Amino acid sequence: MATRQVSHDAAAPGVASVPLSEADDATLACALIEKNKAAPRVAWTRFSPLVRRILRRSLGPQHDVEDIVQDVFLCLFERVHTLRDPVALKAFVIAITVRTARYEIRRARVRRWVGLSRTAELPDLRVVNADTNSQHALIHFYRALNRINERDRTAFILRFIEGMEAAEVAAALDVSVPTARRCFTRAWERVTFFAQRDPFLVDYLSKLEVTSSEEDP
Amino acid sequence: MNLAEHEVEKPTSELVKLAQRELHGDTVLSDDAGFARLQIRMSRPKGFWTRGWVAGVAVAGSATVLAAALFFVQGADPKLSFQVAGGALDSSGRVVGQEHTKIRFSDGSEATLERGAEARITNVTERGAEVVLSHGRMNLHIAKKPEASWKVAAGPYDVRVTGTAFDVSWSNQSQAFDLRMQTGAVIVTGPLAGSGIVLRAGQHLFGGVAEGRLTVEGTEATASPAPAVAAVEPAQARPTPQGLSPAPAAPTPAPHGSEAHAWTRHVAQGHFNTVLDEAEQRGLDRTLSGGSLEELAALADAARYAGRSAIAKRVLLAERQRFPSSGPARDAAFFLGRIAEEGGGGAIEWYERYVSESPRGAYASQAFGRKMMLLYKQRGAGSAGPVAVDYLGRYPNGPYAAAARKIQLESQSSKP
Repeated sequence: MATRQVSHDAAAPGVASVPLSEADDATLACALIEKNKAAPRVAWTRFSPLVRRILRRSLGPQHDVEDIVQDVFLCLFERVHTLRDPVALKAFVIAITVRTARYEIRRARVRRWVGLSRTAELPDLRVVNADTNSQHALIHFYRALNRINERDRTAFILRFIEGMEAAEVAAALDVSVPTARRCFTRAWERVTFFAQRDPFLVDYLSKLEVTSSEEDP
Repeated sequence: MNLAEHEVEKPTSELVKLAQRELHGDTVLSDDAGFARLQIRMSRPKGFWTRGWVAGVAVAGSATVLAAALFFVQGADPKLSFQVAGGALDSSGRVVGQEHTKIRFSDGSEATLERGAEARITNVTERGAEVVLSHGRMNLHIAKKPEASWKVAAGPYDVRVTGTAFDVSWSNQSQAFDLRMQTGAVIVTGPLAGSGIVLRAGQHLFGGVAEGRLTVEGTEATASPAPAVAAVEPAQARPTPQGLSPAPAAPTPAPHGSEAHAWTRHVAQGHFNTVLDEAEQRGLDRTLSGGSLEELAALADAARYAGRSAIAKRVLLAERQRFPSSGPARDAAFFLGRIAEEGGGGAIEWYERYVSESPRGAYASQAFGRKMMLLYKQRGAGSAGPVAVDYLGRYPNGPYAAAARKIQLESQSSKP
């Protein structure tokens, strides 16, 4: 395992020159492994927006992800000693995030099956404070995503919404690159199929088309 | 494989873009607060924080933070909120009328849906909202507030509202539109309505594309014993508002009350030429210098709807000169911009003036969008870019948002 010297707050005065907050991922990984007290804070600042974004995009707009973001970091701090290549810290964080998201997708699916969904379809009373069109389109989009298996769905999210390369998707899903390709291609076809049959999405998208064709500069 | 290879499936691309835009890594929690919560969990013995406990604490914490955030957000920019009583708001934002279904807005406005009617609430701002009536009948009472801005969309018809009460219905099957005024005034736009029909208390507008005409029934006074009936019809010899079809002869109500009211009524009934003829008989200069604000507003509407741009321009300028602080005078800046767009130039300046005078006016988003498009056409993306950014900041879901995003991108890519 690589070892790097970093500026450990009070624990190791004067050992190194680079503040941990500015150190590279490999250095941060080593600091986490060595239980540097400052390392969790730096890891949180550096990776929590990425983790939160992947979780939101994986789980959809109706899911509260804050507690799941914390689950990811607790897992990271517990498992970071298993990281073989410290340079791959970011990929490691993404892999934990994806695994956690997949677990949550399966859990949400079971909850829906047994009728324990946290997001009731027809609440008696709701207060809405903002424009809802885009939000509802998103909800319908994620309904379409709910209808495909969670591996394909995650591959779709990582490839198309997160914009990852096929190799990165494969690494995050722990599958081969051709398998990852098959997953996100199949998911695209299925999502398109379902979206074209959702009246709200058809209406929403047709309005987008009209607007853009009328107002194309 | 990349997104471009899937362009044939554009709808999915649009949804992907929507998710990219809406679902990001920001949070209402500060970085410190988020990490403080994480530290609390890290310090607990592992056995303690089972998933259930964690979820409970986290949800409670999130709810508190969210409530606080909403409190502060609402304090800074108090958008209206609404509640659905006696019915349900489904996850797609639809409210389907049941027995006594009411949508109550925080400003005191209220919509009552008849059984089976279907409506959606969109574009909620601090001054109003858009109520989209998909089908069925709805009664709407809009609280009268300064600068209230509401829109009701029923099929292809838009009803612009400030403070009023009316019944509106739309049938998808028969393509029939029906609006019965109770109090206040509204402007209806849509097929056969040309540049808009002004409706006032007691009037009833009905018809539609299938019927081939729109009919205005009744005069302003609800107590009128024998309501007159008039069909909205085009001016015969002059350019007409779009789609107005010749209507069968209908009795014109005898003028009563002041001339200003008569002109407003004539405009509402589509008799634009009658107003123009009377103004010319009286003398246009005399009317412009001595007419009341209501007369000038009606004359300006009549001239615009009849396509008499030169007269409309003179009347609108007179409105602005003689009644500079009035609402119609402020709106006149927007209409002068529209006229200037048709010929003569100066539209951008008029739109800027309208926005500076009425930043929250009913036409503000249109004025902004039109100014942006004109700048783009006349001076290119470099000039229009800042306006596009400003537009998106104010109206992220506005009618020109898609164009603004493209101009913004083009403007950014053209920078060295």
